[in-house]
Amino acid sequence: MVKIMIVDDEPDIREMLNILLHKEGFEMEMAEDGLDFLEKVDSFNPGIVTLDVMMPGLTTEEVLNKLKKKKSKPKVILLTVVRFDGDEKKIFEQGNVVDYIKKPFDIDAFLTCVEKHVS
Amino acid sequence: MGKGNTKHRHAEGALFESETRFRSIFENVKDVILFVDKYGKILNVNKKVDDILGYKQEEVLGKNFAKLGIIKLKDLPKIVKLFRDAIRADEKVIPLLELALKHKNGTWVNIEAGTTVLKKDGETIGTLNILRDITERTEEKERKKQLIHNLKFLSESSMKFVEITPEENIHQLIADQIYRLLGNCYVLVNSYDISSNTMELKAITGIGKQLNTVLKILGRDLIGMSFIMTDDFAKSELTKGKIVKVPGGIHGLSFGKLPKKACSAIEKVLGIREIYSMGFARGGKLYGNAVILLRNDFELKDTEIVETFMRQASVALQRKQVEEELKNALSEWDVTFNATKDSTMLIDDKFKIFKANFATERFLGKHLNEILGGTCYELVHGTDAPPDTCPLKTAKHTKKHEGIELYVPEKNVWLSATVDPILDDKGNLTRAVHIIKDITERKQAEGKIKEQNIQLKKLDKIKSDFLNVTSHELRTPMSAIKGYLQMLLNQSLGEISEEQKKGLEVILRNANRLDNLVQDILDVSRLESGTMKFIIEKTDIQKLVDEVTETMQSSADLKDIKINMEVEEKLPGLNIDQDRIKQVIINLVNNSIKFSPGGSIINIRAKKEEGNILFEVQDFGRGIPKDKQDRIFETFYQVDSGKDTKFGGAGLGLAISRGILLAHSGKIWVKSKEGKGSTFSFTLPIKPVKDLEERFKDVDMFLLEGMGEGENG
Repeated sequence: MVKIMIVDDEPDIREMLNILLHKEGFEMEMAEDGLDFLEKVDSFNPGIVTLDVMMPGLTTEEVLNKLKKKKSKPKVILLTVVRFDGDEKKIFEQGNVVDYIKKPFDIDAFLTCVEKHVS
Repeated sequence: MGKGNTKHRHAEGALFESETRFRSIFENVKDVILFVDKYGKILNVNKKVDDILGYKQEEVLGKNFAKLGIIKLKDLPKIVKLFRDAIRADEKVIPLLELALKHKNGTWVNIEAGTTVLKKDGETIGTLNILRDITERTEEKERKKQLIHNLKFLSESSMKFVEITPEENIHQLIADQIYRLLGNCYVLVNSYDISSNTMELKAITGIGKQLNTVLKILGRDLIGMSFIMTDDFAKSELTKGKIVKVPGGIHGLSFGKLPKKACSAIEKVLGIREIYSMGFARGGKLYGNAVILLRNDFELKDTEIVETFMRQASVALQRKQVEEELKNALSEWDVTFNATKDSTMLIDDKFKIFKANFATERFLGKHLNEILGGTCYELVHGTDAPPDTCPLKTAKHTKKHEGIELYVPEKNVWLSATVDPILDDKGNLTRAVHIIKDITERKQAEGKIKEQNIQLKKLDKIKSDFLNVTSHELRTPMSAIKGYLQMLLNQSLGEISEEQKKGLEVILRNANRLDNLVQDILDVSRLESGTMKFIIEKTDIQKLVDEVTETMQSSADLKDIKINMEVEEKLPGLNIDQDRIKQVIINLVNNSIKFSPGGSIINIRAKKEEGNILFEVQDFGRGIPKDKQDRIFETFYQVDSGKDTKFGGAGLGLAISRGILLAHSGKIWVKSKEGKGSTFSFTLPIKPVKDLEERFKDVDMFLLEGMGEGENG
């Protein structure tokens, strides 16, 4: 089964998504910000990571850049409340970003998106 | 008759012949030949005495010449002495004598007298006198004399005109000169003012003790009297350079201004017979005129010399006027130059200041005496050569206006220094106008504006940050609420009862409503503050409408409403923020679904119309009352609020739609009939809109400027 890592600074959201995906049968791990994620990523080695774009500490761009140097190469799904314009899109399209979901999201839409990238 | 007789007869004949010849000469010469004995008795005289002096031969024969009364008394002693001296000295010929003799009619005849003393046996017996009429010769001489006099007069006059100082009264000079030339008259000189078309009396000559009487009659001073030139003909006469007679006496002269009675009284006092006038004119321009009032016993002669003098005077008056105009212009320029608050200097190509206004003293802190003649770099910068930034140095090359702005820290002032070059025929800079201006106030104002701009940008940033943070903070809890609700509802967290399900559904519906409201409020705030982000992409319209329909299908299905699409084929792609335009159409369709009866139809159309794509969302619902159609695009306006709140919406959807469309340079309007349905239409220009965000700052979200212009199509 694919391993999924939830990176979100909001514990309620993090917990909720964790439960949701766990119920779907995924092996889960959580990180509370970019640094935490980068520390855990290689040991957990997830297949998919959902990454909130507005977190304290490292910027999303920094996290993505540092991720490139890690052994683990998970697919990245961005969770965001803001819309990306052209320039931002370019940044986030590089590396392992495969999709993004706008917050607040529908649970079903979220699941659909994750399941799309599991295969 | 004997031989002697013949001889005698012969001699007699010769004598007769000689006698006849003598007689013939005696009577036919053009001079008077006069034999006088030593006592002065006229022994013989030829007939010419009649022609030249008007006396018959017989009238004077035997009379004493000296006592005829034809010799001037004062000449008599001179003549007697002449004769006496000649006789005493035993001289036969007395030198020619010129004298005037009185014609019988009383006129004087100029005579040249040649006299030979007649002697017999050494004793003087009388004189032979030849009197020649030399009147003509005398007149010629007179003429020559007059000519020389006139020449002298004119040359003297012209010298006077040249030497006249600005303080002297040129009009009086003219009047005096004319009087000198003519005598026996009064001369008035007027100056003409073209702007008021008046003649003003400037000078009088010739009126002596009668002046008081004249003043009494007029009751005012003569000098300074002015008359409007009502008579155009008289005016044109004045410019002709000829002396003309003025009709109507002094009354006519004053163009009818002075009363007739006073005029004739003055004429009587002064003994005026005729009035003449001539204008001072040059090139058709009138400078004034001279008026000559002739006395009873005098006739105007020598008009030519007067006219010549008048022309001379015209030149002098013209010159004087030009000089005065020049002087005025110069002084006006000087006043202007010195009134300027900015330092203004004229500088030559060696950077030397040769003229500077008073303000320069203040700018340079030096007296004009120290400034003039100095170089600007020494005086202004205290350097030996102009600095590289010197605009004059630059202007010498560019030959154009140059300027710099500089800050003087010692005085805490900002100065603007400009140079405008003055070029010669060859285009070389010979001189320049250098202006130094204190621009401290302007600079301070500019600084303030800059600061305000920075402040405004900061505020913008704060606002934008605030909205982003608020957005994040409001929506993150919503995500958790909605997520768990959905998980509970689909029983991923365990089984729930029907009642629990119902309750959770109500919570979810209201959470959605709250979420929508938060979204709308954030949109309105972004539109209003101009911080809404637009992401422009080439968008296919058919695809856009398809997506909207797909999204709305489930809502429509709930009321069994059919959504029809009519999208024209081959519509051009639009450069728009497709999510935002989708939001607009979804909002319109959503409204239509809300207000349509179950089982009805909603039409979505898109077609090309002129430079736009026209979108329409048509429903057959309850429609909007006419009086409310105008207001539905207002923020927070709800048609018939209360009853329909169950459908959600705080009346922001249409206001947001309008804002989004305005930012896209589009329009939105509605046509509706109560009970029959509504058609919402909006347009989007096919031509790409350059800067949506900039445009957006102008969008008046709260319709403070009033609704209606354009939006209602």
